Amino acid sequence: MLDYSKSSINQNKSNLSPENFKLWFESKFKGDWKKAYKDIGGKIDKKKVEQPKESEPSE
Amino acid sequence: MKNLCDTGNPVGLNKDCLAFPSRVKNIAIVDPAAKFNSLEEALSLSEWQAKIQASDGFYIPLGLANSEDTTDDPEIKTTALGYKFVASEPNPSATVYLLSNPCDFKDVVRTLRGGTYGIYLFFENGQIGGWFNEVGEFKPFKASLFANPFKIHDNANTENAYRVWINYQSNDEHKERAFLTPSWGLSLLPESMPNGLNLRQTSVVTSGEFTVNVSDRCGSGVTGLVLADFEMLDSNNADLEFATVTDDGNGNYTVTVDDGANLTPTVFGSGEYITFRVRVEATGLTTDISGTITVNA
Repeated sequence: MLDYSKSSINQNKSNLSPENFKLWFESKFKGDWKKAYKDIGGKIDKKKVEQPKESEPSE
Repeated sequence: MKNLCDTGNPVGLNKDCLAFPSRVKNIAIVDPAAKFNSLEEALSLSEWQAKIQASDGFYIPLGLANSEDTTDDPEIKTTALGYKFVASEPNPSATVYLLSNPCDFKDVVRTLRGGTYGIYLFFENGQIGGWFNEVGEFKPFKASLFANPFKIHDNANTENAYRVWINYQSNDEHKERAFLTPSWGLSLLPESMPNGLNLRQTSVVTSGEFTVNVSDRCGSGVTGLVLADFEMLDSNNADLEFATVTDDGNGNYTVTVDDGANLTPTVFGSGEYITFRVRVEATGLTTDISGTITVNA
């Protein structure tokens, strides 16, 4: 597992959704994925990331 | 400024222009497409420095310990009726022996494998050799270059250890050759050069990941490099890019390569290769540069 504090990440990875970036990041690095995401220009919508997805309302 | 051979000699010999050629002291290996747009540009120190520092294909004028002309004589044939004629006019060629060291020459050997390059010649008397094309551009001579791993058992001629074969590709360019005399000394050019770095692969590629070592020339590890300092020059999969670079603090870097911003990107895999170098820029100028290496997955 690589140390994020000594790493740099391609900015293209900010095109991943926060959820996907988190999965990708945690498969490689130890460290704060949110900081890494912001470092490369990614924007995190806290509601979307931290709140569990609600099931779709039935009609 | 008057340059050797500026004056044409339509009749007789112009004694003002009599001069034996000076010896070649340095060669600059450049992109074959390199050029100076005009005589004025080619004589401008700042133009040379800008091109060198931008690293757009200009390299340090390599010092020569020795050089030999290896150009074959023209092939002369005789017809059955006794007429002689020139059957072939060989392109010029040379063997040059670089002023170098084992570390730097390793990079030269790795780089010069017979591809096509441009060569500007630097003469002992301060002149620069190239040729002018039909639109007045000062161009390097096209040549294929091949370097041989240095000889280690030639005790008598160790100064000739670092050999590079130069096979020029065009006679026509040499017929248009020009010798320019800049007002500045050629020793100013190396001072504009970026620091040279050694770059070597230190592990095989596993799951798109490998390690490299970056060091000063024959020296200590270079730390603090970031992903932007790793410059991809070529690959057989145009989608490949550096995904991450991790510095261990000792000049060793773990590099991962994949094909982009997908959750499960296609990793750098079997049958693929990348060619890259380390190039550090500050305010648009190259401050440090390594030779190129090719990594096969």
